[in-house]
Amino acid sequence: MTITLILVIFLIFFVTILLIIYDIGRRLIKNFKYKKLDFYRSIYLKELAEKFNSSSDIDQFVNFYKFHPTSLRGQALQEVLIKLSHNFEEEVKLFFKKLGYQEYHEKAIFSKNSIKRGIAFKILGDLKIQDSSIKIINTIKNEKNENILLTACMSLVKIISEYQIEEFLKILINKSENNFLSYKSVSLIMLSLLERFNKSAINVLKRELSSDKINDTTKSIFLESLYYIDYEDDTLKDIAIKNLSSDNPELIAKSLKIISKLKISEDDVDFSKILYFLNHPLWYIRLMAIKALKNVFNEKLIDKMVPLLSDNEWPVRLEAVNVLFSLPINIVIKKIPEWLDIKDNFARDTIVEFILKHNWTDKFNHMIEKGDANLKQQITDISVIIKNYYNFNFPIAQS
Amino acid sequence: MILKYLNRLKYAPLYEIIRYSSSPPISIIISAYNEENTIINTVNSAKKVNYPFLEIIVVNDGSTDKTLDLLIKNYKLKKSIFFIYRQKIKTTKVKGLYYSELYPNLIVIDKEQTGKADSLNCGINVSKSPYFCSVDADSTLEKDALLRLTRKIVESRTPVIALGGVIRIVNGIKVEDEEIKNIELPRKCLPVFQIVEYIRGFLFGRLGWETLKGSFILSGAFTLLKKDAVIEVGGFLPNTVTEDLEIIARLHQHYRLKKEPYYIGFIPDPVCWTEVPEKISILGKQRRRWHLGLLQTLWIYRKMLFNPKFGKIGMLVMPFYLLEALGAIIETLGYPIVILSYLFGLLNIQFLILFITLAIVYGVFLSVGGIFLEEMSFKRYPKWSHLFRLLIYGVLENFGYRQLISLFKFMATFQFLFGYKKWEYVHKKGKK
Repeated sequence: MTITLILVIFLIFFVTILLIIYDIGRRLIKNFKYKKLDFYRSIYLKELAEKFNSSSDIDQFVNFYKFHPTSLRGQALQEVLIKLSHNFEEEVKLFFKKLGYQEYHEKAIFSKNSIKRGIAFKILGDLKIQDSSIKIINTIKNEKNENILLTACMSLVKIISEYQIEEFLKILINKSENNFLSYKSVSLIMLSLLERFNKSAINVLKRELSSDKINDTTKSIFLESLYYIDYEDDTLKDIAIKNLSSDNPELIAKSLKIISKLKISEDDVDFSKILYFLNHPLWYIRLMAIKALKNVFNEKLIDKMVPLLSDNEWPVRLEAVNVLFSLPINIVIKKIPEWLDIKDNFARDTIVEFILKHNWTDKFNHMIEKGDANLKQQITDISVIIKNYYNFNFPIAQS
Repeated sequence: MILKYLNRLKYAPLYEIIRYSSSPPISIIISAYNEENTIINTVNSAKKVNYPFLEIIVVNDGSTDKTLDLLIKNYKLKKSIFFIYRQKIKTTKVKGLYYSELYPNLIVIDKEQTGKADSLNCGINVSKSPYFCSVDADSTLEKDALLRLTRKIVESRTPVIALGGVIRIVNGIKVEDEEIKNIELPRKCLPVFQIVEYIRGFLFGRLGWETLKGSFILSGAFTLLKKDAVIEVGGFLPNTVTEDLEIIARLHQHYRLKKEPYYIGFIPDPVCWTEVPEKISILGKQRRRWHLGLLQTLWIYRKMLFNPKFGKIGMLVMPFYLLEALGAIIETLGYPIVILSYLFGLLNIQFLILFITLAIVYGVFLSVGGIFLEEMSFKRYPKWSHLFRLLIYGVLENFGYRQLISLFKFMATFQFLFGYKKWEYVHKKGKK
């Protein structure tokens, strides 16, 4: 027993000493390494910037820099090249290729080591090595690691050509539908793609959206991406309207979101379809339906909107009051007493908060100054109602 | 695990997340009770956080000092003459809501003093974002802290319910313009002991549990939570002393019972710097509260213990923490019992020496192991003097500090047994 205890103590003591020695040794080595890295970085940055600036023939100096990519010098060189690529994109690409680094990283994307793969994807993307796009596309078809996939796709977005968009989208759809990428990851990739290619990507995207081959979740991600870019046309309108008949709530919400962005008229869409969603059990669909109606909202639709002032969810109430107050001011003033007559406290609170927050009191004063006796009376009535409910005066009550 | 994670950071996207709508809006909720020394720094540091959709909500929990006045003066706050306060979670009455003329995304709630849990619930009721991050009023968030946390939300295929980051100690560090400038170790012994302890706790303990997918404790000083999930389980419970621990346990219970996939985890690179006590009496209050909270939570959720329905959490994580809770009693009583046994002749001198040596050597091993992990990973203490001091304190903490912490835990066990539930406020010096 005693011997066992002594052995255990010595073993723990020995391991502790080893850890201390390792800590100190590692710090010594790392400090030395970082100093060297800093030194190489500063030298290469200066040298290469001068050489690329003077348009020297790369073949003349490439041999001086042929270090293994994992060596300290190689590491420093690659970091410098990424930095310089912003100003000397083509020169850096050619230099990178002649150094043999492109070949090295193109091999690394097949590595079993996920870190090696990830770093290779990132470097090829950061340096915008278009030549590697086919290899990366082929590799990611079999990639199942979600983190690597996100990095690879983000890199691909930077390097693919227009003709590869369709193939890339098909892979993305496949990864999304097989749950290898999260909803937000796909959304991030799509937005980057749309930002880079704009119309050419939108056209491919619209084709995919029009087909019935992709599932509703992927469709809703694509529609959401389209919402955030500055683009609108009739096809998009048709796609959004068509998807309103879906059973998938996310897809309905995103379609309504797209409609809210487009300038639609009564001829474009059967309003009863959108009005139906004002009573949908899911709050975010009700919210999107209000937003979709905002551009075409008129007096005839007031009755449909007023019940939403009493909605359980504050974003819905707020959007409803926002839409109602977008009507011409004389109609709003006429209707406010009716709306303030709603029994639900939160509905009344939302209206009063909107009046105060959006400086409607100034608008009221302005109307009073115009001198219309009828309007003045209506506004005074409003202020009296509010005072009765909330026991505070706002400027109109005193005027 | 930590090296794998750090290597992944070499290629994982981060700043791309800011540019697109993939990152969810976040409300930072800061509960403040008599924090006149720190509140402005904390709000300023929150304002500087690098995140696209941010709302800052300060809840003045009935402070009797100048906390509210300072907020009003510094941010030109205007009291809203009218506001809607819908109690999705039942809370105490809100006295006033203030909007800033300078920063439209800053809201201050003024309410009666009812404690941190109720204040956080008030903040949740006012918050407009799907996620909120609770931050202590004496803490400084690093610029990219939220971005690093939300990267997980973007990447995860499982709904993210709660995420915790690392808490590091700000004592002794130069903070300029609410940013950490010069990392130094504090001169006083007590905070350095706590630094060693925090390093060990976060890099050993929390990361270890994260590897096993069993994160159970996330620090209330810096936790990101999904608002709907918290509302669904009823918000923070006001009658526990560690509301941060209790809510995580409740969320685990809720999702395990519903059999829905969820993710609650710890991310080791987002950092929040916080102040720790420099006096033993204040440290004692803090540690007693933490341990009392652990015991309360284990008691409330005792049905989860050893219950296969709750998977790893019920079968492995909670029993571990139960063992840890009981460990304090065994450790505190162990020393006098062994010595008394020797004095009464029940134990020979050889065993006594071996027992004490083993306890100390094992303690030193754990501390050095924590510093080893820090050295392998983030290396936030860059000077040689830092490393040597940390190693020395890693050894020294086993000669008094550890026993003191055990004693506080032991006292907390008594408090628990006698039904003591009071929240003990820990007043700190404040960053100058």
